[in-house]
Amino acid sequence: MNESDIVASVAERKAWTLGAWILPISSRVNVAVGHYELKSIEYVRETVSLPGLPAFCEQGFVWRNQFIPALDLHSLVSRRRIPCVSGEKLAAIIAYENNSGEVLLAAIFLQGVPKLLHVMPAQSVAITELGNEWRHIALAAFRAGEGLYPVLDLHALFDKSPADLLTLH
Amino acid sequence: MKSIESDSGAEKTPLCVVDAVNPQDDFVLINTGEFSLLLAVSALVAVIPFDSYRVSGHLTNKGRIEFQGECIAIFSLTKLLQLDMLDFSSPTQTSVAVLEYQQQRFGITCCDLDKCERSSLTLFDVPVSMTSRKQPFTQFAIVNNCAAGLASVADIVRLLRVRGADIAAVSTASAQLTGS
Repeated sequence: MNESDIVASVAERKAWTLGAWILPISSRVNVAVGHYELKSIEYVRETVSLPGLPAFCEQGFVWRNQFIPALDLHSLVSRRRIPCVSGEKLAAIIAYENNSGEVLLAAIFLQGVPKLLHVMPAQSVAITELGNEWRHIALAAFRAGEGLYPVLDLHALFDKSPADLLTLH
Repeated sequence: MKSIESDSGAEKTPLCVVDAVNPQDDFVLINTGEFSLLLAVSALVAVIPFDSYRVSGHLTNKGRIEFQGECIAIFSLTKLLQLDMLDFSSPTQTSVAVLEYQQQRFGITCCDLDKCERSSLTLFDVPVSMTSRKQPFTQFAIVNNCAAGLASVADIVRLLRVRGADIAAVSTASAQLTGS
């Protein structure tokens, strides 16, 4: 294989590779979002809560003059609340499209720093391999190393009321 | 300046002073202890500190308080927007904000009230993922690092009715007859 063949082979492989951000939502659970869905990672000092909501979705914060709704995804899927060890929280700010086609921002609280993985189609697995708690909030899944990662359906998570989300869940 | 007074006690003591301002422009921030609401200043009829009623003996522990010849219903709401037990010794239930809806007066317990100028507030829409049909607001502002829902008295009445509350006041005489 000459040099041009190698370059062509790498280019072809890249074309079939997808980027996925791995987001740690607890010490043991990681989820994935698409490369271009993650917009920023921020340390959030102050959050505010709205009344009348389950704990997993009651908080949000202001970022660049916008109010960003935040989700404690681990609390949603495990049905228990992770105690907050300090006032500062790490959050992944993601973009999603709502029913009207608008691109909006939302956040997922993190327990660690995200990392970018390159994923090949061959790594894809059926959603049915995930636990039941992921069925309605994941749109795909893949395996990388020892890990099985749900790819989050951000529309399902953020463009539904908590009552609708819990009904699905 | 408009002085709001209660005539329920023997002495007419001013309970609160509210600026006479354009209700379209300014809000009153009602801190219930667990969450906050913003209402138009004109929606607030009076603020009654519990202490004045404890002294005058016009406070009952059955969810009513004597105000201007009527026993008005008072309610306490939790962060989950459910009705809470009235606890007159609670540090978060120190006053009653008296509101009026279609000539019916009722009260919401609170621990703090403050006036806010509309121009000082940035209003945000409640995101879809943070909506609840129980919430008496669709917009909110952030005041003192807390969210304050922009509500109307009709919104609050709707919430209270969803929770099975009856906001109707009764005359003081009937309340004495029934012992409530």
